[in-house]
Amino acid sequence: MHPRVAEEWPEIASVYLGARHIPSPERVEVDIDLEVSVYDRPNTSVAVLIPPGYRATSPDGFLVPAGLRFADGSNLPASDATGFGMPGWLLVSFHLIDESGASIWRPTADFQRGDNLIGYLASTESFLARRCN
Amino acid sequence: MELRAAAPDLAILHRQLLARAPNEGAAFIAAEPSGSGLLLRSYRVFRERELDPASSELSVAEEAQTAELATLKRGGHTLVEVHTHPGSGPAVSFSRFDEEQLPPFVRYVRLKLPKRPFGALVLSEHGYAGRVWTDAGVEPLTIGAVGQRTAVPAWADPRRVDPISQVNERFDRQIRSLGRDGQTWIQALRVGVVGLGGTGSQMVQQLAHLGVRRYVLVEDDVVEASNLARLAGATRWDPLFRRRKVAIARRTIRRLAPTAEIKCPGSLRQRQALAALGDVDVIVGCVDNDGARLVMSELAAAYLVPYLDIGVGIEGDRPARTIGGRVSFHLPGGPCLACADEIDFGEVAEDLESEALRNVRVQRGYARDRRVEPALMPLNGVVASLGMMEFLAFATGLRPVIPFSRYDATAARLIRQSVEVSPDCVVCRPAHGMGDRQMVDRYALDGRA
Repeated sequence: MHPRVAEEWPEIASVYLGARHIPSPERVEVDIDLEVSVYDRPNTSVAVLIPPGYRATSPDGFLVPAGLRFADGSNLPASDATGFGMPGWLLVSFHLIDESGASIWRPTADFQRGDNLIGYLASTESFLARRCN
Repeated sequence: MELRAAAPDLAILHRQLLARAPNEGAAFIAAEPSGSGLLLRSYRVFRERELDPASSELSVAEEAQTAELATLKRGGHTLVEVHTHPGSGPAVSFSRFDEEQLPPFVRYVRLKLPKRPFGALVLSEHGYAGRVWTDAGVEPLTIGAVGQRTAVPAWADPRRVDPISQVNERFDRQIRSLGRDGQTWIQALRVGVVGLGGTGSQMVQQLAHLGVRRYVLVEDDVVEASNLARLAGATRWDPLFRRRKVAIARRTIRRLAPTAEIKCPGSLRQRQALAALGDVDVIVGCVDNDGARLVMSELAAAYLVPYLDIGVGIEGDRPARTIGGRVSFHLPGGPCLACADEIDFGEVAEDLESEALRNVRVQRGYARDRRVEPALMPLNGVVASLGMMEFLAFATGLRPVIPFSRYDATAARLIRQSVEVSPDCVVCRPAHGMGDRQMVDRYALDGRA
């Protein structure tokens, strides 16, 4: 396990029950509830790929299982993830940037005092709740 | 077995422990097994109230000991117990009390921290004695302080080499400048050079002339015609033969030192190269991207390897161009490039991402355009030479290293920068002394072992 993820793992596992660490490509998978008025199902798995430079560099985007759609049947703004070793998943474009396009990722040596995976996963939940807006 | 420690860490530990003199002091060192030795990651000096008042000899109270062992266990560290014998001089040794107490303590610790070595050190003002217990038995534990020569106390100098007995005519002028010891230290170093382009080729040339005899050369580019304007040692035929830049550097070294030891383990993103760089005495980084700088910064922090980084830049449009360069020396325990805010993490993310992810970003139109950078051989030469002066300061103690400086070629100025270690640094602080557990090989593109 990536050493920075290993530091955070007990916290992740306590916040997201059933969280999984998959070594290749290295990612963290969690299950989250969805708003049934927005999506075609009540819950989904979400995977976040761990960049090798994590925590200095932030995750970029997240993945959901292919087939997840909005309640009206339209597709999520996402692309097929087969190319990077995750067939059956879609990569959703999601960046932690401000209005000028600058990164708002602010990590620190101690993950509890700066940005971390739990915060990133929480942001993806909010993003999904906002219909990917 | 050697306990490798950043010189500033060792100096502070030594000072804090001996502050109790003439009374003895005690500390627990959290160490990381790495290769055939140990790395000092952190330590805790026991306070007065944590020492056992009931004991006539120095003894750490059971409660403090148990709490600290639990911390070491949680962190997955190895314990090195250290205490002092003030006034014992350089020939300090374990006392009879130590010899009685150590065997049961070793059994206790190895029960609490199984499958890990246990080390014990006794320090005086000018010496130490050490022992380490492993599954294979007991052996001496030596201390190797890593840092610039002026910061390494003689009693903890791992680079003890016999001074060259014969003054080689070839290095005569240099020995007159740096002394016999200085020349000896240069010749004993194993230097890793990463990036063998415009600045790297000049660094290699100077290292070879100075007398460095052991190299790890990391680069996988081939020479192109456009490189000839700045690649030291290249000939006009090299692009035609598509010679590798590493072959040019090797040729430069061999012409001066036919028997030099030269390892060429490939690119920085190969496992062999990352492993080889963890085992050098100093890394010289001459790359043109922050992804590689992040990898080297992390590796240097993890294995306590000094890392000298050279960067040049010509930015903006003529005539309002900024031309200059930067020399940064990350000494173990000191500030790194990220502490100095010299790493662009957005660029790092792009440099290190997988090809598949990059393709997705290109398709979506938000990949950063990387233009061909302007370059000038004289600028490379000035900055490479400034870097070499810091290398000499580090290796020979000519003067203390100036870790961060900037060369403004437009104004013909050299600016010394003051940089402190950032306690929040996300690059060097978590990696410091972590050795193999930092898993630097995750940056390899050719898979892990």
